Amino acid sequence: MLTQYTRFLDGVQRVIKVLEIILLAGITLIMVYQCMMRYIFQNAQPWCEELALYLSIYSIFLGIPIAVRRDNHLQVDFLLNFMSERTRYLISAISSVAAIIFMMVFCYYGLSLIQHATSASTTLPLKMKDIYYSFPIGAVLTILFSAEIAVTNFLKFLGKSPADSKREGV
Amino acid sequence: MNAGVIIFVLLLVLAFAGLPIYLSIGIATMVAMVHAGFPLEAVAQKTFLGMNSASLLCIPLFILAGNIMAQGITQKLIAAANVPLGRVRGSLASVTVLSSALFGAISGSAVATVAAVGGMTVPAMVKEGYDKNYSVACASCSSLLGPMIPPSISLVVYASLTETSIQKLFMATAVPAVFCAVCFLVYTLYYGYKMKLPKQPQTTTKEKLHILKDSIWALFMPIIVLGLIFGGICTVSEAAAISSLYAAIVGIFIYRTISLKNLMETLYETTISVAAIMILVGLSKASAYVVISSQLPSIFMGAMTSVVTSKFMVLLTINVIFLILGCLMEGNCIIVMMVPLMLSLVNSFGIDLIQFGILTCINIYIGCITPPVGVSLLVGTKIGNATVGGAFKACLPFLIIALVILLMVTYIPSFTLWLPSVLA
Repeated sequence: MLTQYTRFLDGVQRVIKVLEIILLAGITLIMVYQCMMRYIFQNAQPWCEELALYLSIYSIFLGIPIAVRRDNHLQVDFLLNFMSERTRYLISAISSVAAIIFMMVFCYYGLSLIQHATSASTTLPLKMKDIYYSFPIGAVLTILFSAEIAVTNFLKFLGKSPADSKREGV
Repeated sequence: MNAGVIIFVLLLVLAFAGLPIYLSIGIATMVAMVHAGFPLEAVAQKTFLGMNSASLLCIPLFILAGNIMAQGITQKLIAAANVPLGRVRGSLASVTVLSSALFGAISGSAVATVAAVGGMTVPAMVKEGYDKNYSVACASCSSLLGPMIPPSISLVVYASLTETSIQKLFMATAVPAVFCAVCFLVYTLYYGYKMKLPKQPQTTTKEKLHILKDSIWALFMPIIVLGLIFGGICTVSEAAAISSLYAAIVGIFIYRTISLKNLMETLYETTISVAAIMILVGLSKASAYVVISSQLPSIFMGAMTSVVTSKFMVLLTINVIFLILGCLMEGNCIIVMMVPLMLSLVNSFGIDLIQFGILTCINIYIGCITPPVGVSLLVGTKIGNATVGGAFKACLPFLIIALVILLMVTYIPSFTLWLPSVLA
């Protein structure tokens, strides 16, 4: 059951990886294009920066769940280093549950932001709510990934080490 | 209870209990908002505002440029730094300082610098019989030059919180950074001379020219970045994008050290580490909003001014607070937490916000080498397989230099403010 769920998340992660590569490459090229158009061709393109910014917001919210899975988030760990391995598993499980609750609230208010959004982008044919969708998307993905970590660490805490499936290419 | 106090207490408790910082800030902010009767929708709204700032775009792009550079191009920088320094005693240490400075003109983070430069020079130093602790200390402390020499991620975060000009901040940090690099260089030369460390083998002028020719594309990179920004040719984010593209082209087509697959991996890795920083920046906008509307900054100001009254003492106290926090927490967390709190105090004593930005950031860079939580020192000791205690002892001379520079930044305003006033 857990293995299947892990495999499902591996798939999700591969999709996110492709999207992230496209997003960051896109941001870089758009910014270079903007500078070229303005400086060499004297033809400023105001939509460039706004588009790059919105792409970066999506890139952030897609990156958060992966950072959760890899334990890449910034952390104060020097008290943790004094604790036993078992306690650390428990803390990690609890903090994943906290992440799930936080992200549920965040998702709920992200959705309410979408409902109340009326303004539109100034330079792009987009509504602001199109950008706000990144909030619930990121929150739901983070919940999915945190659930895996919560269960794995809780099992490790109980001494039932879950089967470590080798994950290639994620 | 004051909503600002709730945020601080809860944030510290949760963070030290082992929750990721973004989660600690997020939960603390939500609890404080509920307590103070703010609508919780503001969390999402302010987070969006925190991320929706064009100046922040340079953070992913500079991190990307540094990550691409780290694959092969850094090696060329080190080879180039070896050309003028190779024949002095203990040259590898001096080369580490100079390469970190050159790398610093592209990258804005201390950890990236120690990983990229120290990752190559520390093993080389140990192999040549340098003291292990000295090698690690040298690479870890030189990494301060990474963020100190513009660009700097921390200064961008500071600028987004205080609405100061990133360009001016970058100019203001340049003079102290170059001064620091020179002092580090002098110290490594002195140490090498005193300890009779080995020199590098003699190279002919022809070989030297060959190395310089080979590394010219790498050496162009710092020049491009700084030239574009200081020359007013493009915005900081555009300069960052151009340097990323340049590094990718040079790495793939000229030096051939990067494959397309590596580039994809680098893009992906960059977005993940950027996400971890940016969620913090976004959420901190929400927490700053609560802290500021809770009147905590003015309470903090009142408490501070009841104890210390002179500008001299206020600056000293701020430095001490930052240095202590720097031992315990990661730098950008300190900025997003403490700067909104201190702003009204700083303003009331007429301290320039540009100068305060440099002061704050040098404090947190020093925090990168002070244990227990000194990220650069930890990465350095991992590379050199040294102990934190031993390496930190060897860091002390560098630390003293950095502290002297901090004092100069604190008490000589023109040390930082002269260059922006000339170039503006």
